[in-house]
Amino acid sequence: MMVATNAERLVAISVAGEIAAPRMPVLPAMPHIISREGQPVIVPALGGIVYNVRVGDPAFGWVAENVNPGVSIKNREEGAHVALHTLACVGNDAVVMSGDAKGARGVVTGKSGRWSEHVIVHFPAAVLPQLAIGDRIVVKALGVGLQFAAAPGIVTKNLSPRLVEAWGINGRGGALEVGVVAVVPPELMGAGSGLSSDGGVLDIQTGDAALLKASGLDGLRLGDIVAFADCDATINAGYHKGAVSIGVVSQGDSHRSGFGPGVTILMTSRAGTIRLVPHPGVNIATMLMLS
Amino acid sequence: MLRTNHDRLIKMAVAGVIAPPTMGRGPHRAKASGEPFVPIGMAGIVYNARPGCAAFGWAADHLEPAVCIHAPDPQEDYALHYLANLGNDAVVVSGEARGARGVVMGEHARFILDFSSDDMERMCPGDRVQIAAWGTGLQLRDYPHIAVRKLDPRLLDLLRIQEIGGGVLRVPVTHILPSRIMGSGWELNPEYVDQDICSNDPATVAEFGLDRLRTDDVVAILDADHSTGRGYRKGAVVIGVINHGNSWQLGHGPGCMTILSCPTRQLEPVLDPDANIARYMRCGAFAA
Repeated sequence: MMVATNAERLVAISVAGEIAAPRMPVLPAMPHIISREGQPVIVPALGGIVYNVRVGDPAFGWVAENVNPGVSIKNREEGAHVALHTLACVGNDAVVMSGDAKGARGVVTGKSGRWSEHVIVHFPAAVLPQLAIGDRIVVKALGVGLQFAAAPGIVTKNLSPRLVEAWGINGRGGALEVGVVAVVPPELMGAGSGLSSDGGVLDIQTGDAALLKASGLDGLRLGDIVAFADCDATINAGYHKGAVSIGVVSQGDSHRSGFGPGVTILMTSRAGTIRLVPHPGVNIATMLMLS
Repeated sequence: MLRTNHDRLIKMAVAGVIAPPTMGRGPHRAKASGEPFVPIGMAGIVYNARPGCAAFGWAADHLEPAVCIHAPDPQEDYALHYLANLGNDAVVVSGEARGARGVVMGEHARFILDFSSDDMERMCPGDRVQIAAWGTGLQLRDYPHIAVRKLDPRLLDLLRIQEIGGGVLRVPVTHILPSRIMGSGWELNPEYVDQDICSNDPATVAEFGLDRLRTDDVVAILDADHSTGRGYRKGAVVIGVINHGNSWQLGHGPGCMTILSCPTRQLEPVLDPDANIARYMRCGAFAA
């Protein structure tokens, strides 16, 4: 049966940011990134307004580095930025508060990791041309502290009640049954390990094409739900045999060693009390009806 | 002795100051268990732990043994990080310990240097320390498939590496670890800083004997390629040196600096409980 949560006790609170300009990498060879083959590469970096990559599109093949689909926002003030990056949850409503698109509504679809730390927001295609870098966007943050009554050992993060409802998660005997597109083996857990999972992402390493294919990860789409095996994301993220973490593919593939599609963690169980159910095509673009 | 390009490498001065420990207004961090702790062990002068000490068991997080230096100017700090290498000579150039001689034993957020206990008693955070940086660009003339990182050429000669033919180098190590248990540091360059071994899971600690690690142990990581950045690569081998102590934080643990990386099994680790650069150099916990 559909799992019960404490959603009615969660507080909805405003966090805000501005549409962030893309920034070129500082390390190690500005403005290039160094590919895993050792080649210098200049491609669009993450940030800004991306007009032609949307949640639901392939995660692979873009001539870009860890592309964020849609709109990337940050807050210029550090404390307010940490609040935005921590409290905004996938599935939260976002509203444009300034500029030509004032009043337009979007949905939080993910985050980006160390050195960029964006919140990624989807807007309908018709809204994108009206947006400008610097436009102010408010997110109605709701989801931090979310718990499942049937499985109190599972820690959630970046997860809104709206996404839980749309997902159709079943709870039974202290465990949850969760549909995922694929499972990432621990060897492919990459950048983001040891870093915060309450914001940020955990990357799927994509340097080993054979293992990627064997794991059913080579056809991933932005917005797909995936699991990390032997991964504990209770605080930070890291290897822990038997643990399992689940997240949403928020960013596109990378040229760099140790990096790849960035996954925003949604829930984790150190004791492994999440039962993974194969669910081809389970994607937040469908669940959240992103147009 | 391995043939290298050491005679073509530039030796140049880089400098920093003894780094004071710093904290935020709310200093607590969370252990993987959820318990908060006040971080102690990084930066400053650590009087009672020197390179070669146990990596586990201290009431400390990311213990950086002996003396830590950094350059307050960010660009100078990058130069310090990319140019200084394990085994480089260091000298104190200001303060009461002026003239004291030490050696680079690790690179973490700061550089970890060993000095004698007597010299450490006369030091103060802020004292200037200069390093004769040497080793960046080091290459093995007969093993172009094996990348070298963060090594003073003299230290390379102390690692007891054996040439066994077929382009294979055999390297004594205390531990052989799989890539999958590596944590924080995938996002960083091996020329810049280390990568932590995830030590939160007691079963994993026991399986690989992580709690027997010492700082400055030489270890191997299988199926990892650190020739450009850090990544998983089946069949590749990395040799590293433990630079700091254990951590309570999830995804963290003892740090491992990359010193050799080969995309094939032509880097062959062989277990030897004495494989430790502080022991080889007779400094730190192994000082005469």
